[in-house]
Amino acid sequence: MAGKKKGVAGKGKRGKKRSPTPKKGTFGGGKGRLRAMLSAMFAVFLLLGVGLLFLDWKLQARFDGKRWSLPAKIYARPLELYSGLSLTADALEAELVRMRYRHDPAVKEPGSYHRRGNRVHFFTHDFQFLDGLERQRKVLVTFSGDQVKVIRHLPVGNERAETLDLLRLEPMLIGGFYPSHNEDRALIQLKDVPPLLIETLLTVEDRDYFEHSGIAWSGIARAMLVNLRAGKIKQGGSTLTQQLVKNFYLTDKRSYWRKAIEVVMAMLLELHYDKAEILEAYLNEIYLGQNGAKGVHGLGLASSYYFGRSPQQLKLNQIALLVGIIKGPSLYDPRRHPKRATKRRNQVLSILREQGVITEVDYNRAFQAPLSIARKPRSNSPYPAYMDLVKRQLRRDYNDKDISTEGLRIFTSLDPVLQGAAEKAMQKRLKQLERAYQLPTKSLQSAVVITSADGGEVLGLIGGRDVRLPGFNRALDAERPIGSLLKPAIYLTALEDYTRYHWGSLIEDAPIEITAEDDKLWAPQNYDRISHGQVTLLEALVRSYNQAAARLGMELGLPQVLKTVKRMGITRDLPAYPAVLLGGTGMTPVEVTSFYQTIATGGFNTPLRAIREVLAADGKPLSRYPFTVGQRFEPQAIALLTEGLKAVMREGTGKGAYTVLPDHLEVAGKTGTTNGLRDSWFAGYSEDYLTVVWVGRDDNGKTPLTGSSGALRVWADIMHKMGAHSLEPYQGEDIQQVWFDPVSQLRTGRRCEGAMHLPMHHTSIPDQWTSCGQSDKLINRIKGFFR
Amino acid sequence: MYRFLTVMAVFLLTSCAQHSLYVEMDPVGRDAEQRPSHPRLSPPAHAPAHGYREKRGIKQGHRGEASLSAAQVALLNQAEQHMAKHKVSLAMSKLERAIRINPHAVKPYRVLAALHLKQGNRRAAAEFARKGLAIIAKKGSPRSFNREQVRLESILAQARSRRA
Repeated sequence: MAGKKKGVAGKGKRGKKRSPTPKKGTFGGGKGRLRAMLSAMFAVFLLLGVGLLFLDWKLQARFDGKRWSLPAKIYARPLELYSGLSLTADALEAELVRMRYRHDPAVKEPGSYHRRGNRVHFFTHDFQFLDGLERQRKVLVTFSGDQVKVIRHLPVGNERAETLDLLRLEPMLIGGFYPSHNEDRALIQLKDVPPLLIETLLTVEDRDYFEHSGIAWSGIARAMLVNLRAGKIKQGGSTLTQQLVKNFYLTDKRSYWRKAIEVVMAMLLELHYDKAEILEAYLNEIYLGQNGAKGVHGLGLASSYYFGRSPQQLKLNQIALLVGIIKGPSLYDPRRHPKRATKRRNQVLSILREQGVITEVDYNRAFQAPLSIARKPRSNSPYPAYMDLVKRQLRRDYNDKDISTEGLRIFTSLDPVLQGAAEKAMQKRLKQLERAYQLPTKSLQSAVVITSADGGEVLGLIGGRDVRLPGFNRALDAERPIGSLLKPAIYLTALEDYTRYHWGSLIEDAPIEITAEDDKLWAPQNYDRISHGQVTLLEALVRSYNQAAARLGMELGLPQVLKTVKRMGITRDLPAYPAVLLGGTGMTPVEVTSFYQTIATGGFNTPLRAIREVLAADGKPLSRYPFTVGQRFEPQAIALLTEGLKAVMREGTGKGAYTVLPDHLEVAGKTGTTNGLRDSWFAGYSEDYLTVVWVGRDDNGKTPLTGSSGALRVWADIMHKMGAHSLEPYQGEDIQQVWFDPVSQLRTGRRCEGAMHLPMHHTSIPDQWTSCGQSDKLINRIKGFFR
Repeated sequence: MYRFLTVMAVFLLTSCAQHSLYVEMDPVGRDAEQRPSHPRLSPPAHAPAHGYREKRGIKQGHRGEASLSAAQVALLNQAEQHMAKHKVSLAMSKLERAIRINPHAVKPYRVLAALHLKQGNRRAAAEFARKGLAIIAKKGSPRSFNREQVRLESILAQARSRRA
């Protein structure tokens, strides 16, 4: 190459020396014409040389970049072990197995483990976190029941045995992608590719690969003949090198000019790199189909996309199909055109038989085999919905330059244990619901978001029923009316005004008609189509009375309620029409989670986070997603609301959860059902987890499910499987539990008929008492006397 | 004298009344069927007086400020070491891990608030101080929180005054 550069430069210098000659006015003579021709030729060569140099520079820069580029690695949360942690030996063993630890009774090497009863012995790997290197250790973890009891560091070599306060395991790798291209890749090395796959590829696509220098002249001649006969460009006659060049640098447009560039670049590529390097790049780059908006590039990803397995696991018939697809990924898409794909596969098998690559027996067996395509395209990650969230957050929060940095390591808060438990619970419950309500199989869909109640970290996310299927992510994108899920905002607006409202305040649950700004009449109905007269705020919430909630909302003022909704974490502008009060507006499950997160954290807004930190390939921190809080409500008001939402679970629309949850578990939540039973929602929280569930149909069709009979059941299963802990009661003195008579709106005795035991802010508590319905004049007179 | 005796008698009566008179008295003058059955915000019969702490299992041990777990103490110490070396990002990372282990412990919030204040992030400092104070308020301000409360209020005051 250096020689070429010198050559071009030399011509340039010569050109400069000769350039004064024409200026002397010698045009017109034979000598002059010759000089002019030479000058023109020189200019052409100069241009060609510069062009060649440019192509060479472009080729090397891009190829080196591509060849060595590393995908971003995405990790789940690291498991932190400490004495007292709620974890069983079974769960730890399952985590180690998930992280591909080998069972080895000797536990000699990093990545091995052994379990005996409640003692788990394992050897961790070195791992570089943002806050330091976690050194490899041989440890023994002893359990007592469902708790970690002791963590012992066992000596290796000269080390000393010691008890550890805290041990952080390396996190599980949950996926990888090229952030700058929004592509998934499954990089494979040449040594890991089955020889039969390579042999098939070369036999079908480029038999002289190891002989030619990038160009197969015979192939080009044959293609030209075909094109001349057809009168248009039909064939390309490309070698693997040319195909790679086309994929890397050029467009799909068929033209002679593009072909010429392709030929030159293929030759240059062969000059710079050896055959093995080019073949490996080809295996990882070749276009093999389209998965939604993303291209399927490389044999590694394609084998998982089409067959749900790695290239090493492919059978002959699958190899033949995969290689056959290269000719036209869209034309031979086995999911869309199975007959055409089978024909193409058999064509490949015939070529292999003719060339002696496979025997007649192998041919017959593969010929008769079905296409064996995975039913639906599988994702490169076991958690495609969560990965989708991570990618979106990266794109939202990083500039393109940072995100293009290769080999990023992205640490997320995904808890694979919780995610797995939630997936199983959701799938099982949906099946049960379909059976119980005699619905067509797989007609119901669902989305689930699980966060840490206090930190706002997204611990799990389910985007649809088929949890391994990438595609429409309902948790992030399904914007559906939320029904009564918005009601807590109305009650919170009221409860914040301690002097005016408390849970015992009365409101009329009676028909209400409101004329909206667009002159449309809005007359909400209760679910049971009955108006219940005067009810307390608590009863209205617990039984989810629409008319009472709408009346209260209008009494408080629509702008005031909408302001509360904003303070609760909904960033979008909601339309200011009365139907919004009853959740007539659409939200995604993630938005609903933001809304309830503010309640679960005790009035502090903590933006939802899926990413904890991002490290560059060299281990340097690129960015952190710090934990932030912002107080939006007084803890007392939120404590009162939580008490109301706990009552929903104990006595109201949420009580069905206790058919699954243990009776002692204190949780808070709210159901949501929309018109025509199209959407079944439930949002609820324990001390440690907030979970939001949506159940419905993708076609927005009716289901027989309310929030209670649908989403609540899924929610309860998930919370039970996750081992949620009870909400701790608010113990501040400013909230007191008092016996209250709703009729007289005075304090009363515990055994009075209709007495309610209500949490009240100390400023809301009435001074006066009533003796079971009649205000006791004597007692009040005595109290007055002392005052 | 008469007035004194009346007062004493009434005092005795009222103190009894709070516990027995109102509780034991039968409903008077009310048609029970007219009264709606209201949901009661009463704890279930088996519930202990202060929630379910006894049944919380392992996390229970970490809830009180007096019982920061060894893991949290270790992380707080590491955070302080990083703070001493002005490695703010690392210190924050350690503190967040401590919060993750037990989000109801006040000290990590207080240290985080102090760190933000030191960095000049007064808004963040104030918010974390408020978060710590909210936890204390929820716990009913037990004695073990007194010192933390004073420190948090001091941070909050500093953050406010500097902002002002």
